[in-house]
Amino acid sequence: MARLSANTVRIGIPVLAIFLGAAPARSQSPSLAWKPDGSDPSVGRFEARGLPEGSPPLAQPGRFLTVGVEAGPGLLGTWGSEGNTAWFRPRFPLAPGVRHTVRLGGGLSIELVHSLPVPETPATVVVSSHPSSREIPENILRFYLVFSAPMRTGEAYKRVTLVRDDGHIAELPFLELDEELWDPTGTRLTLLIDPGRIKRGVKPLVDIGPVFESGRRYTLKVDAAWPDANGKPLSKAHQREYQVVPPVRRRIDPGDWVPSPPMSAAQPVEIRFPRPLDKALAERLIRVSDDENRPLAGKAEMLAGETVLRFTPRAPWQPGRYHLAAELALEDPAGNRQDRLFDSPEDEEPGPAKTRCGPSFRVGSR
Amino acid sequence: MLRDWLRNMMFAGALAGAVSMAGALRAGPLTDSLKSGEVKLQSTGPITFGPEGVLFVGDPKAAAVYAIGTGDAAASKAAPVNIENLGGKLAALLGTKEADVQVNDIAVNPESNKVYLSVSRGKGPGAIPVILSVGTGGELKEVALASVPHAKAELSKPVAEGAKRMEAITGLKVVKDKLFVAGLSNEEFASTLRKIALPFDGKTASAGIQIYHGAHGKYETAAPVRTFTTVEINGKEEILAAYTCTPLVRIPVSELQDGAKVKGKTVAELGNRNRPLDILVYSKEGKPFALMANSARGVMKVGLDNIESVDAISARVADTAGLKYETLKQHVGVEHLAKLGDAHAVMLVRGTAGVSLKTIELP
Repeated sequence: MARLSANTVRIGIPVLAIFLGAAPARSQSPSLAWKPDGSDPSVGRFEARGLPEGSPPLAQPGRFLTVGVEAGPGLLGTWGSEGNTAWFRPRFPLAPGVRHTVRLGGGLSIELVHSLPVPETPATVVVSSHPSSREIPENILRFYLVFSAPMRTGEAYKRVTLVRDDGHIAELPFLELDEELWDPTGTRLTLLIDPGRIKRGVKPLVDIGPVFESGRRYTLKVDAAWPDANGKPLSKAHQREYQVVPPVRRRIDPGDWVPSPPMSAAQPVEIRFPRPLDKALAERLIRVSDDENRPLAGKAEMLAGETVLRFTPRAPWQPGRYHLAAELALEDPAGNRQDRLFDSPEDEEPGPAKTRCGPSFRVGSR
Repeated sequence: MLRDWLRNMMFAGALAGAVSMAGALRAGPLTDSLKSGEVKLQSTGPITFGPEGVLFVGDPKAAAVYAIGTGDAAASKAAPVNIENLGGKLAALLGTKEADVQVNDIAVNPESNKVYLSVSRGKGPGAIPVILSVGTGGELKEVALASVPHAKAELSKPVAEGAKRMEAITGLKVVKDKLFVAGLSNEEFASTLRKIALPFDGKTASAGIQIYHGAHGKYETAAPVRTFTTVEINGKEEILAAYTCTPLVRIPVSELQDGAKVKGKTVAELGNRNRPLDILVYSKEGKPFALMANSARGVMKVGLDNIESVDAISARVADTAGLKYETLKQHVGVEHLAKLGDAHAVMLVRGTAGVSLKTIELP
C-alpha cells in the first residue's frame, strides 16, 4: 500500500494506484487530501480526488472511504461524492495532535495520514491565588486559582495539595465534584474545602479533624505537571504559604467598612474592611450608588490581601454623596455572610431585602 | 424439526409483537409541549429521563436544562449492555484521544430501556458536548440535535458577558410533573435544589430550596447535595439525597416549595473518607433498597424497608448509624449508576484500562 504522509503540508508523491475496474477516464491519479472549508484548518472534509468514473468509492463513499484515529476506526461524519471526488466530512472539527488515517479502498489502495499541529502557545502559569493574605482562618472555605490560559479539567483535585509545616499532606481536603468549579473561560478554579471538615459537630470534622489547624503553617501547592487545555504543562509550579489563625465566626457587617473618598473626579474610591472578604463575591456584590440609589458602573478590584476594594467608576465622579451596599450573598473566605454564619443554624429569618447598606461618603466640596 | 419450526414461529411472533409496539410511539402532554428546532448545547452534565422518552440534559455552561424528545418511546425489553474500552470507542467515534473523552453521566430511558451517555469531547472550556445512545449490540450512536423537539428551562438569568460566576449541576431527577435540579455555584456557597414544573413554561427556575439536615445535634446549613434520587414511601414521593459528608437524608417532595427552608431527616451515616457518586433505588423480593456508588468503598446496598421507622440521626455515632448497609466490594471504580429495567443496573466503571459500561443484576 502506498502511503501519503501529511501534517498540514501535503506531500505530492505520485501514488501507485491499482484499480481493478474500468480503465481510468482521465489521466489524473487518484489522491487523498484534507480540504478546509475556509480559514479554520480544523473544519472541512477529506477528499478522494481524481477517481475514475464508475469506481466503487464514487458509488459507495461510505464503504470505501474510511477515516480513523489512533483510538480506532469509525470516525463520525457524513459521506458524499460529486464529479470525480468522493468525500468524508467529520462530524466535529479535527482535534489538534490527533492522527487521522484516511483509507481509500475499492481497489484503489491509498492512505493519507493527516493531523493538525498542536497550536504553539506560551506556557501557562498560575497568575494568582486567593486568599492572597498571609493569614487564613482555620475554618477557611474557599480558594481561587487564576491561570493565564484555559486549563485541562478533571485534574484539579490531584494537582493541588495542602501541605502542613511538618510535611503532612492534607487528606481529601476539597469538596470534590464531577464537574470542577471553573469560570466560563476555564481560567479560574474555585476550590472549596470539604464543608464536613469545617462545620462544627459534623462527622468528618469530629472523626478526621479540620483540614487546617490554628497556629500551624500550610502551603497550597499547584503541580507544574498540570496540563493546560492544549495539553502543555504549566511553566512552573505555584505555591503560597499561609499562617493559620483561629476560626472566624462573625457575620459581615458593612457598618464596619471605611471608605477613603476620592480626592479628585478621576480617582477610585477605596473601601477598607476590618477583615478579608471573598475576592470574587466582593468584586461582584458590593455596590456604589449615588444619592438617588442608582448603582454606578465601574471596575471593582480587591487588594491588600482582600481587605481593600478599589472601585473605579466608568464615568468621573460628580460632586455629591455616594452609598455603599452589599448583597446578602456576599461572604468572607470562611463562608460567613451578613445574615448568617457558615455553620450556624441560627439564621435570621429571610427578609425581603437582598442588600444591606454600608457607610456613605462624599465626593467634592459640600 | 417440528420443534425448530415451532421455535421459529414463536420467534417470528415475538418479532412481530416488537415491531408493532415500536410503531406505537406514546405521545403525551410533555412531548406535545416541545417545539422542533436545534438544541445548541454549550456543555453537557447530568442527564435523566422523564416520561414519554423525554431526555433532560443539564447544560451548566448555559445555566439551563433542556428537555429533548428523543422519539425513543417504544417499549422494549431490558437487555444487558456491556462495553469494554468505552473510552477508546468514544474517542474513535469523536476523533480524539481516549484521555480527552469524559463521560459525564449515564441514563436509561425507562420506556425503551436504552442507555444514553452524556459525553464531552475535550477537557477544557472548548469541550464539545455530545449525547449518545447505546444500541442493543453495544453500538454507539450520536443523538442528533440539529432538528429535534425540545424545550429549555433557564436555571438563572443569563450571566453578563465576562462574568465569572457559573453553577455546576450536580444532579437531575424527574418526580411526576416536576424536575429537580441540584446545583452549586463557583462563587457563593449556595447549594440549591430547584424545582421546575413540567412541561417547562419558559420561566427561569425558582430561587431554590435550602435543605438542612440534622447530624450530631447540629443542623447542616445549605450543605451541597452530591447526588440524589427519589423514593416512594407510603405512597408519598421523597427525595433521598447523599451529601459529601455521606449521610443519607430523606426529604418529602411535598415540602419542597419555592424559597422554602426544609429540614431533611438523616436516615443513615455511611462513614468517612468517602464521597457518594451516584445513587439509585430499586425493589427486590418486595423490599426496597438503594444502591450507591462511592469514591472509596465499592458499591453500597442500603436497605430502605425500615426507612419510615428508623430514628433520625441527631446524636454523634461511632461510625455508621441508621439504615443498615452492606458494601459490595466486587464493584470497584463505579462512577455512575442507572437502573435498567426492574432487575438490572448499568454502571460506568473506571478501571486501569479506562472506562467501561457494565450491566449487573440488582443485588
